[in-house]
Amino acid sequence: MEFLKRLISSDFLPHGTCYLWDPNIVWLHVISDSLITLAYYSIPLALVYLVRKRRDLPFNWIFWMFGLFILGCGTTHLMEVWTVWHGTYLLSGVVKAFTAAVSVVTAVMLVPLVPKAIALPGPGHLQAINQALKHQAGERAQREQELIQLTEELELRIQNRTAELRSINHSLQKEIALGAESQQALRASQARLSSVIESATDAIVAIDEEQRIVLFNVAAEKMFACSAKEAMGRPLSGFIPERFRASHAEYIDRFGETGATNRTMGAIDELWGLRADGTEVPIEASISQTEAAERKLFTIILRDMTERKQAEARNVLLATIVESSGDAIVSKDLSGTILSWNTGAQQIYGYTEAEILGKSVNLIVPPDRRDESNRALLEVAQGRMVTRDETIRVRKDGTLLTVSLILSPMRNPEGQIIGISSIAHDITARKAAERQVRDLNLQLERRVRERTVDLEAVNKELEAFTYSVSHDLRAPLRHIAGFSKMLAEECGASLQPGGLHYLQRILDGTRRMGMLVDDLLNLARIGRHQLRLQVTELHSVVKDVIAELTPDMEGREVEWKIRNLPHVEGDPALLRVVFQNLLSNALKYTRPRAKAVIEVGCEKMAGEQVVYVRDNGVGFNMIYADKLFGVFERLHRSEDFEGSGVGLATAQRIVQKHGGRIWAQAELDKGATFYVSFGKARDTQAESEAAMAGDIS
Amino acid sequence: MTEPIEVDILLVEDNPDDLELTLHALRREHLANNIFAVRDGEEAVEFLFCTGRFQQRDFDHLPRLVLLDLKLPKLNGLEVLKRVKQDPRTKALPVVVLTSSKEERDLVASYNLGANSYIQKPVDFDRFREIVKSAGLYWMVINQRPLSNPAQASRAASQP
Repeated sequence: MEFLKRLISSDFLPHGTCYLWDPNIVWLHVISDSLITLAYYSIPLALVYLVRKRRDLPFNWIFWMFGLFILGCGTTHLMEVWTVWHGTYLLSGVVKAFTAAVSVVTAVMLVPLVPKAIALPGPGHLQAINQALKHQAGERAQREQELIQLTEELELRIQNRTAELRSINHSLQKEIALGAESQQALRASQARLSSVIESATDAIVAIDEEQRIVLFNVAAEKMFACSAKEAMGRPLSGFIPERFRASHAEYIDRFGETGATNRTMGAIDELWGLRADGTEVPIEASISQTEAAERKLFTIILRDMTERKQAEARNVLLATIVESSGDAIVSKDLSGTILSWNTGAQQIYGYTEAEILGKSVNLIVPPDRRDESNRALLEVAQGRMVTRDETIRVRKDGTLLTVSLILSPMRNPEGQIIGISSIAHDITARKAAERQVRDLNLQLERRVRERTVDLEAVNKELEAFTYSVSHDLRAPLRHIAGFSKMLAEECGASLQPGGLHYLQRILDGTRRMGMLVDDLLNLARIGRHQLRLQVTELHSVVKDVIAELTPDMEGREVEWKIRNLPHVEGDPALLRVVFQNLLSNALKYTRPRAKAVIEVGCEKMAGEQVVYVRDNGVGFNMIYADKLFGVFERLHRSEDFEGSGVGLATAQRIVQKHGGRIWAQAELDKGATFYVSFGKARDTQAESEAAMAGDIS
Repeated sequence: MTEPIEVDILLVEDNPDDLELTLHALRREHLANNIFAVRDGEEAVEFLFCTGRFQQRDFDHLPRLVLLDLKLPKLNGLEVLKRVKQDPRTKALPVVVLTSSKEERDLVASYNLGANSYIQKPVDFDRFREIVKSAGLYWMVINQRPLSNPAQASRAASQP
């Protein structure tokens, strides 16, 4: 900077001062220097132009050097002009020094060039040269021609090559595109594969050489109750029950060594998987090995055998049922060819399975039943079930048997009818039994008829007997009584006192006998009596009976307690007899009591109305209760209580005729209670028949 | 026994014991002067219709009461009753069935044939006498009957 300042500083006096500012001298110098400058500046331009135009000019760099030193000379002159008015002599000196340097260098460089320049040919020489050159030019043109030709060839080749390259390029592009496509395809196929694996119903598990799990699909998750996330990386043995682990690991190792690609596992033994929850699952497995990235990979495909095991068990069970059945269970195709034949069929028809398989079912159908059989087969072939309650078949030994038959269509899973199954039940024995039952029934009916005839005869006899008793048996009694009485009256005076006593005993005996006969006849009459059912008011029946008993109450204190009594459906005349017996008994057996209390009422027992007659009489010991209602059965001596032993039997017969029940509850000396339940009113005809049968027995 | 012309009670009784006892009872009560007894059904019919052995009898002198046993030889009591009640001449004649039985079918048959009463002879003799007495009293004393034979009356009425 210092230098530059000094360079342009004009501390010195301007050159014009030397000229004494004489305009002539000043301007002489200025114009001359200016013109020199212009001239000098124009020369380099010409030189540059020359050099540029004449490229073939030898040593052209020297022209550049000339140009540069002339330009410097011109600038020194320009500086001469400048220093007239500005005393920048340092600057003008520097320019001069530069010019000097360039000039010296140029001069020095020109020295070795001079001989060379001298060697440059002159115009004559140039002429010859020109001639030679022309000749050369001719050659050159020829060569050029050749060159052009070559060039054209070359171009053609280039074009060809370009086309080639283009096509290569094109195919390369195509290849690149294809590569992308296949990459995509690969990805798609991978996705497909993965979805196949995940959607597979079989469990797919892959393990590496260390038997660690590297793939665990959805089905495997389900099968082992373990998520893939948990399973990944774990040893396979975790899913194998303890007892199989060692042998299984060994198996896989061995399999790895064999190099086989595929094998079914557990062909002999059953395989079991261990679920995460500790339960075991029956499985079927196959293993395959592949090598990926130089590592062995085992893929195990497992199938849950639980259902198949169950199905197998079911099949075994079904087969067992079929085999154990005593019925003939036979299947045949639609043409009637026998396909299966169970043990029952063998037992029923006598043919073994080996004998009859593949034969026609007509073998067991007697000729006269073949039409029927064929019709049934046709019907079943159309999908209908056919049952035959009874048809005839023929055994191997030619004997016939009666069977009941069910034919049903067998369908394949698509629903097409592929055959006919039949179940035949041998009813020969049943038929025989039925026949026997029928025969027995007929026999029975005949016997019943005979018996009825017998019974009717007996009944008639019985009726005749009671009629005869009624008429003929009573008569002698009356006579004995009558004449005894007359004897006592008319000849009493002449008789010894003992004689009179005997007469009295005879009279008593006849009276008792008379009572007995009358009671028995009553009982018999009730048996024959046709029930005339009507709604009967028990209360009035009881009232009437009590009124009838008035003579027996003479001189006694008797309290009657008559409660609410129901209406019952019954024969009023017979119901009256029942209460006559019950109430007179009550009155009779309370005789020793100072005050007799007799209660008649009704209570509900086990849902039915039960009428009772309760007294405070002498009662009886319950151990004799079963004798109470037997004919002529008495629980008291006749000296104590008179009676024929027929009354309660009569009452019971009447109650039974009404479908009711009579029973007693008593304690010795503590009174007795008689209960009567009137069953539902029944068909009077049936009643009288039952009563008749009762009579006979 | 020769029959009187006027018979108050015809007793149809085959059994001699019954006959004796019944007669004894009837006589003791003095209910009838003339009691005539026949010993079977046939005799009873002949007496009442004046046929056979009794064809000399006058039809106009019918007894005032018939005491009829049912079990009788030859014709039984019911057949006698049937004939009496079917014949217009004897239809009005009171017939009391006096028998040992009180079988329902006897009772029904008797009443159906037109018996006027049905009495069972009791075994007890005192009671028998009672019954005979009451029956005699009723039919011979209390019960009113037409003065003439109803059959004759009807015959007379029908004559022009």
